[in-house]
Amino acid sequence: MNTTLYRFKKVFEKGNINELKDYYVKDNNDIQEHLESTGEEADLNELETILDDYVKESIKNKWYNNVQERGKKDGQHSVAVHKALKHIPRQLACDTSFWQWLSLVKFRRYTIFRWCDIKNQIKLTSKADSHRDLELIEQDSNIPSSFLNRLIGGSSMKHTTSLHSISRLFWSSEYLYSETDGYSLAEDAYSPQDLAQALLQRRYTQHYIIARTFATKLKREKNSLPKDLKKPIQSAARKLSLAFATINSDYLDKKDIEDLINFN
Amino acid sequence: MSKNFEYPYPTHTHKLNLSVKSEPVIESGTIQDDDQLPLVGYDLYDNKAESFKFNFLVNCPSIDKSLYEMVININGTQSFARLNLSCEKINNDDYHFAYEFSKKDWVGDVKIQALLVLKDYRTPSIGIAFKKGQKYGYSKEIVLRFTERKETSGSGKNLKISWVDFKTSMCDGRVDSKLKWLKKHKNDLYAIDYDNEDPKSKFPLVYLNENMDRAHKELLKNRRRDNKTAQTKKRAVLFNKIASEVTMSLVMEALTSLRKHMSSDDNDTSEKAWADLESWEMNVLEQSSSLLEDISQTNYKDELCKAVDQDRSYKKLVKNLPNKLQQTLQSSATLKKVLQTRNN
Repeated sequence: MNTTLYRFKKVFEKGNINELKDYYVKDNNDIQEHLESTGEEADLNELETILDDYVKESIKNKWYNNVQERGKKDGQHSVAVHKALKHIPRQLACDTSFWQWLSLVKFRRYTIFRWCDIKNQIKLTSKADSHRDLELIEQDSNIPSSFLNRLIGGSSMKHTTSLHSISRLFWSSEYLYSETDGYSLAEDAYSPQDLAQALLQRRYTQHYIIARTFATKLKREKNSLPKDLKKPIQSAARKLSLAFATINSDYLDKKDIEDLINFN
Repeated sequence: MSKNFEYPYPTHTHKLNLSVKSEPVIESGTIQDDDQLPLVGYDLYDNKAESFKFNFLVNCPSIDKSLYEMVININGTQSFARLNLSCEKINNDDYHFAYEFSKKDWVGDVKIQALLVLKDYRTPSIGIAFKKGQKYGYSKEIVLRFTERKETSGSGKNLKISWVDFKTSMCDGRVDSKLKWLKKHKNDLYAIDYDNEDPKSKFPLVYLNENMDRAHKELLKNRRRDNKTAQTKKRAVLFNKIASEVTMSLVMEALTSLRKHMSSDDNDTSEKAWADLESWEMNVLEQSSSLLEDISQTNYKDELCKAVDQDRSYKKLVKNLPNKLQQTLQSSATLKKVLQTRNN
């Protein structure tokens, strides 16, 4: 069954975070008055089940003290988010207030259990009633900016494609999905996490063929590279940035781009 | 530094001329990009049409057409989309491309630029472009604005900045007699013009002094986008200082005005007092909710009117303002970055 997609009437920013406190302690029914319909619908049932299962698993396995474990399902979640929302117009996919509805209302427990700091997660597992979660974070008045980025995101490319808890999942699949390969690259976008971090924050990947070629080449050469892929990935991404100082990246085809990518 | 110095080979940038025709016909104007650079642009967000056909015409004489190709680069950073379109040659020196933009596919500013690029690889040699796709020339950018710029509360981003020589009243190459009052501020960095507001943002205009000392001017005119060098970090501190002082002045002016209207016998309701404010004052107060602590968001205007009308709560608002502003503008973090920079 399709669900109406909403957005907040106002975009939350670091500057108006005190307004967020008002919403933290409110019941979901009260939050409705601050929302407006986007005019779009989506079937979120499967995604909701997947993310709810993640929260249950996170509580059961105490992932709050294991950052790596918490991120292992990002690839799978990315595909699920994209499958549910791939039909939405681009204007909505770039709308921070829409993503904020997903992270603060619809999937707020997922956002908290994926990104919140250990202390609050422990509190949540013991007092997990439905509206206690955000209240607890609010009590921890110094919301760490890293978590805040995951919770409210922002309009910049970095915030949308790389930081916000839900939009990052959507955009990695949007960049890496192709008719020919389906979601095979997207599923691996977060293993390791460095790939998404190094690639999806860079403007040149908005020419999607670059992101796909980079991920494909990494997948192919992974076994011949050092086990810790962080340095090779960062170095290759940086070298591409330098090359594109004088080269018009959007002019190149897959083969040209592949020649420019060097993980060694 | 001229952009040409970035290229290790000569470019023909000066020869590239991009012109645009739109259907429906839309008047172009000067709009400022994120770096406050004035560019030729088209405001499309308030136009009723759902799509716009743009004809791009590029003129570039005397180029070796067997080596180079003329392309139109469409860069929609906020739409997370980029396109590169090959132009059709319509005669010896003129190229053409038409593209239809649908409103629902684009967000924010989309920058259009004509680029002359190398068609294929050729034997490497010092001083020439030899890699496929290397830019041999580029035109001035044209901006299509698909969504109205959303301004950030308390950040100073919504202020329209103009460079004026305070000493001579010169602005955009001509003397503006309306700006003679700036002469008494000839040694200052900036001045706020409360009597003139930007028609778009509805905020008072802010003038930067073209006649300020060289060091400050170089910092403020530095167009680098990043915030990594000592210079750009210092620039951030200077921007922060100006934004902070200007925002403080605007909020204080608006609060004082609201307080005055609330105490007037004619205004028995907060609604009337609010309606008596200047449009920029309303705008400032509406966007300053993050700076005004303890004012509930649910009934913001009413609560704010009540708070300014009582001495105790008004003093509290004003007292907390400098600290809220520092937090909002992240002043301490900005300064820390400069202090941590070597060789600054």
